[in-house]
Amino acid sequence: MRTIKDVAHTNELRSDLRSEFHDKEYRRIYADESLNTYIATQIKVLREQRDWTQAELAKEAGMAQPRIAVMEDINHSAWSLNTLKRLANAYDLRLAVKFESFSSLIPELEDFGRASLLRPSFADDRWFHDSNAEISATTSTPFPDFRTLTGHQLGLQFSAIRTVKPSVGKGSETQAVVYVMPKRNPRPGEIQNASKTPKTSLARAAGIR
Amino acid sequence: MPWTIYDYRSHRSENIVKVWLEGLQKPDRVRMTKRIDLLRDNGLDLCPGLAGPLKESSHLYKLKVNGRVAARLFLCKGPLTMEAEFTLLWGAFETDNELPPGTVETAEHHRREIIANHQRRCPHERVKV
Repeated sequence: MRTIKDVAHTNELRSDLRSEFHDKEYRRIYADESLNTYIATQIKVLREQRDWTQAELAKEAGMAQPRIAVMEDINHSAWSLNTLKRLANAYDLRLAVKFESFSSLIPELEDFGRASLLRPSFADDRWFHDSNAEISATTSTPFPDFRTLTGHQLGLQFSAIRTVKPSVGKGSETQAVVYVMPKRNPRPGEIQNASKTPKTSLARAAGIR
Repeated sequence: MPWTIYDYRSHRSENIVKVWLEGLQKPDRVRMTKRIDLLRDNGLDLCPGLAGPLKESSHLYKLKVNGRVAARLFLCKGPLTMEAEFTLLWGAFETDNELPPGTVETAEHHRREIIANHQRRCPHERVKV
């Protein structure tokens, strides 16, 4: 369950990175650091998911335990594809290496957490053992539940956090996150009077028919 | 749940943490910004090697960046709301694994100043490109 603080934080980070990533050196280093963090943290999370010590992982991967300790550190940056393949083999997982756009890093950063890093080994990969099971890369829900999506996930821009009083009866004040439609240039033929924003349903704003 | 990050302020209300971060060369500043983002998003428990407690003071932690220089940023949990916030206290540079004399004491002094006077910190200010 995302809180108001989560949403405000997410919007703040998006806004910061959207501006900062225009600097080539900045985005290169920030993305490098994010990659190092992702790999080091996932090695540790996967090991803990399997209840292994560093020594047990080292044995499975045919490495020395101190080498595992070095790799389980976000300050490590000298990754070798062969070493990562050996770790993937030890965890009975496949290794994926892809080239990605910088914007694709943003949702990855927002989802980054223990749950998003867990992966089942082949023996626990239900799709191979249960014909009714859905394919799921992680332990999280494969498709979003639109009832729980926040405004920014629906493509709206964060505007403010307002205190809302109950309109009838007794009740305590609560806080609401206010979203607005993102500004965009009018398309040819559109009325350019922006003084009155037409009322638009959440579904239409999100492009859902 | 993200953590709230604060910066220590001097008795002249100057954000000396921000001044220190602005003094880093860009690559090290980006790396430190990334670590502060991780701290805010995940706290200390998820990412291995992000920060560890100091031997000299159990209240203090150290964010490390090993770039062109060995930049170290000292922080504490709280110190007002322990499970919801971190406060950045003091930055320094290590040489041959040695900190300048008095570094840890200065960070600890700043922590005590904040406990005594809550106005001696402000919300963390992200350093601009």
